[in-house]
Amino acid sequence: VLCHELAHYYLNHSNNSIDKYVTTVYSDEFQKQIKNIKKSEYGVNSQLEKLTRNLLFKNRRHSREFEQSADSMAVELMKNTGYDIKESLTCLALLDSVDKDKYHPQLNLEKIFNFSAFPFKKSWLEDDDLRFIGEKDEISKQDEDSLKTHPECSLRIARLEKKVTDNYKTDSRKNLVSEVEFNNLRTAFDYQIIDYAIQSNQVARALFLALEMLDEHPGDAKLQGMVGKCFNEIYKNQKSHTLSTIVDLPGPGFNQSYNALLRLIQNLRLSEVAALSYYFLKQHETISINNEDFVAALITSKEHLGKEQERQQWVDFYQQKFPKGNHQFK
Amino acid sequence: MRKKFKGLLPAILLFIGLQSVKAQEKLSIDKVYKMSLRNAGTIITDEQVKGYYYFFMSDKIDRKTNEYTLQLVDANLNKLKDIKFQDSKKIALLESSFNGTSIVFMFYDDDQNMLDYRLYNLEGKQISTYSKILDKRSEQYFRTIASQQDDEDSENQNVFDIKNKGFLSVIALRENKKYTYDVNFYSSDKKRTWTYNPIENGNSHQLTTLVLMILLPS
Repeated sequence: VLCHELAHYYLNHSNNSIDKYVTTVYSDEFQKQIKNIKKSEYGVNSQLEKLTRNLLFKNRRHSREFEQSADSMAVELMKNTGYDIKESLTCLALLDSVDKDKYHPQLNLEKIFNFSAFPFKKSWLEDDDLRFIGEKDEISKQDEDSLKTHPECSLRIARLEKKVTDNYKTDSRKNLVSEVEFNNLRTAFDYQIIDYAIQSNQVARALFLALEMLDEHPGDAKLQGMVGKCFNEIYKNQKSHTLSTIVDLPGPGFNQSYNALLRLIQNLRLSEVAALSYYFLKQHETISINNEDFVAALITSKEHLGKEQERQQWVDFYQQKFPKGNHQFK
Repeated sequence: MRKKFKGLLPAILLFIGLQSVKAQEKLSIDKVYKMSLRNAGTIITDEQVKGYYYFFMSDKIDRKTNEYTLQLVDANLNKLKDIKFQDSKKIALLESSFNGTSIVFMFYDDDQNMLDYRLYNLEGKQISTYSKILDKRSEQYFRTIASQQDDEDSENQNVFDIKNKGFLSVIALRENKKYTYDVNFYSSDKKRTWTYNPIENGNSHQLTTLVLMILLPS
């Protein structure tokens, strides 16, 4: 990926693309076409749309050509690094699925947030919003191929295969640094993404990612703590009427699972947010006590639900167990 | 002679200047593209705002016909759908309502003195249209509201949703000094409509009874 992006830079693709666009739209021929359209009495916009569409198709075709040349130059750059250049083909095969979530369960919110002392309410997921079924029309289906900025990955692989085979070095390696460390970093990044989302006030997104990851690692105290922390943030912001600054509103651009979570957040009353956080964390409180952030989230949830006595016991526990802890409690 | 040229010189320079400015003038697509907003309003369900519509005149097709774009956004202002169609250049979109399974738009056609109820399903496809020719008792009323639309008003005056069944439209009528109304029902699940008028149907009928007839399962 790095070699491919460097190739775009060295081949000056961004500037070439801008230059080509400006030259085209300021050309005499193009200007003449616009002037003729402007003079028309009827169908001005439909003629302009046709003209724009042709310009866009042309631009995207060039873009796909640029990608092809960047792929080729990337192999040239990569063969000098010591990495196995066959991995470039694996990378291209992965690109087809790169936009999909790494963790992609259909979140069963009714199961996750159903507690014997505080059962799930179906009304939390109620949805009577105006929404259209996202069926694409025939024209956009036809146009889809012409509008792609990148060629199909299978085509890119086929075009590169010979070059990769010809340039393959037997002493090249898949990992130049420790594979174990690499995999550890990959897992750490998953947690960091959630942390970053919380820090940048994307709390609903962080909650969604934490729940997705928790589905795969159900006993993970750090993730449980993150879920609690998100609910605690939602509580604070709902109370101060600033909820919209940390959660998205349901919308057609989000997937069904994320929209369901957003709807749940919108439908919860303040006391219900506090209760969900409290009961969610409480079910793990006997086994996740070694994680400092989990205990901190648990204490805050008890405070929000007015469980003062329980809260004080856990504050004492926290101070004893984590004397140099990051969280301050009175 | 020299004096003559002296007088001409500024004019020549001005002409050359204008030509060079004109040569630098470049047209861009967005400067030529024109769309004008005709009406905007709320999409109502059970007296709650579920979204908004923007009704644009998006192109001129011929002397009598325009192309229109009906843009729908949800309550959070996310764009949902663009519906394009061609129609008379004298139509106005007055109200809209959503009943859970379909959405209705009430158009007023000044040329034909007609109300046109267009129903769309949740794929954005038109499922049926119902037309109602206005008589003298109501034409003035619609002519007035079409010309004085209040964009701030988020309450429907004429069209009301009946959950998953259709829509009711209430039209005010005036004959001399007598005021009355027409109630029209437009079904969204099958092509079916009826009209109720308290004078023509006899005063003994109560409107509420009719509304209950629609709401209660048969």
